[in-house]
Amino acid sequence: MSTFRKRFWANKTAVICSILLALLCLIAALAPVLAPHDPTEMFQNNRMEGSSDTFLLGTDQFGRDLLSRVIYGARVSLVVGISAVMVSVIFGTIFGLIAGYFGRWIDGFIMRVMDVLFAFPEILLALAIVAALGPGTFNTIMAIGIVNIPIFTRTVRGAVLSIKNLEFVESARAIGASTPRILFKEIFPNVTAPLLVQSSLAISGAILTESALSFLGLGIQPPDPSWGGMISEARRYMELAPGMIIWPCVAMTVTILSCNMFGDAVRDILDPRHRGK
Amino acid sequence: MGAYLFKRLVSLIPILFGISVLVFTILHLVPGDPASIMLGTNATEESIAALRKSMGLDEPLITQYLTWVGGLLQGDFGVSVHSGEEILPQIIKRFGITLQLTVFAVVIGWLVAIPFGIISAIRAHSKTDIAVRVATLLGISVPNFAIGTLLLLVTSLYFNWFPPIDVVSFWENPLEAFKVFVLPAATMGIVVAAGVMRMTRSAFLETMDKDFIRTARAKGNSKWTVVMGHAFRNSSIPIVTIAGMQIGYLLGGSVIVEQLFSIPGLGQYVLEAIYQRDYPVVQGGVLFVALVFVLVNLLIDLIYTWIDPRIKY
Repeated sequence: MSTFRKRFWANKTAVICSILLALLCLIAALAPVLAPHDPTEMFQNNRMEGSSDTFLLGTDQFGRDLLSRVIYGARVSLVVGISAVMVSVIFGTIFGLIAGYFGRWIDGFIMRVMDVLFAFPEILLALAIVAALGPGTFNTIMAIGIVNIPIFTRTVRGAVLSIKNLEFVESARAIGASTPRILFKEIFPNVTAPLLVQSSLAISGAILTESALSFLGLGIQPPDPSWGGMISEARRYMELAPGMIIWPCVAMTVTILSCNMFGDAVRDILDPRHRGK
Repeated sequence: MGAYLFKRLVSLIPILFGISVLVFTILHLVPGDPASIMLGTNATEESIAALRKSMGLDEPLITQYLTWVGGLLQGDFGVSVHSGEEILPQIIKRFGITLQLTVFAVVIGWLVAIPFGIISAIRAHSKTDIAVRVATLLGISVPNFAIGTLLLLVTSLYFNWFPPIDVVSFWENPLEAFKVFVLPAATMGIVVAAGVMRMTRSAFLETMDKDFIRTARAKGNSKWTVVMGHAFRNSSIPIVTIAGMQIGYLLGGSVIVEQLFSIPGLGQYVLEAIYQRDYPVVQGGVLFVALVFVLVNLLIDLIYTWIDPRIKY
């Protein structure tokens, strides 16, 4: 662990991106304090205004403060992104541990189910699930979570296959440790590294999918602010108030870029073969 | 090769069965009665009962599934609740448009990605390489609908130009089709380029370290011959893999771009059906895309043997 810490602090990209991500999480958590206005409050006399002292990033077609909406949008995107990945991590880890450890028909069955889930383009499967469950925050989280389960199952299964016959697992078996103990106390701690890399990359994908669903009107529902929804609403007014599109795009790009670069950096730290490639 | 193809086709059967079960199940996840949801709040009891009967929703689930799959095997995807039209002909018609858009996007993406990916690898850690890597990261990180919206914003604000609304095929009128598809294809192409460029750079970096490249250089071959004659083919497998995956994703993922640019492709057809709660169309469209996706993946596996004859199945 100390080697990881040393390498982490020596990797500028990892440090900068983790600071950026921590800042974004802080902004999202402190949204009610940091946002200058209520994100749904309409200032009818200030519709589609440019930047001013009262409205730093301007206002939208209903006179709502863009800065406040972008800040609250961060909250929505991060909550949905992180929650969806947690759903995927929990189920993917359980399925991956079981498939990798037990092998045989259990492995075959679980992996064939994952192959089926892999046979759908991500956004289309998420759309189909949302179409059935209906739009809304919880359903969006579930849809994105389900779609990402196969990636985590494969990651964990691969890691389990490579360690399940090592001596420390054999020893645990020899002293009569129960199967859940072997799975969660012996094997699981050894698969956290690939899980961490995969999670940081999956969060950016989850944020992208959430914003795409909201853009299509099937994710987070108005008046709750989400970056995808804001861009979708702004399309009609893009020539009159380009800021309505540009600011959510900038916020989304910074967040996803930070997640992607953080994921790449952590992968480089944990697996030096990837460095610079 | 023939035996491998047969084995792969047989292995597709459980996957296709799983896909059909999943797509069928999704409709039945709908909370409440699908018939009354599809017809909306103003529907009469009689019309709901009639739809339930015509769709077989009164039957046990297993009977409904077998009837549905039986129809699919005979090319009967059912009828749209909203328009009353046969679903399969509509899917095929719309898929033609999506396919043109996808091919155009892939051509744009590859034309940009492969040369820049190679240059980036050959001149690793140079300014060009850094620029390519930054562009790649941006391409991966900016959502395609944001890219598309910004492209529309730029072309309308600075060039006072919007793509034509009426879609024509490349076979009918190539110039007009180019105008229709150029912005949506560029939008998708940027995302394609980012992924392929990243993979090209990575694959070339790995190949350029190999002994046979050193030998080719030692023999006095020009840089061009070394790169194109020796490194290119040996770096192609990961590039083809990512490119193939992207084609599959584009066919399904074009839903956003089609909606943004009002292209009446398969993605928009499925999306409209979702808005109208026309579940038979959603089922048919999603199933069709999944089938195409599976077939594209199979095709990619077969292309491997052509690229690298050492691969034996």
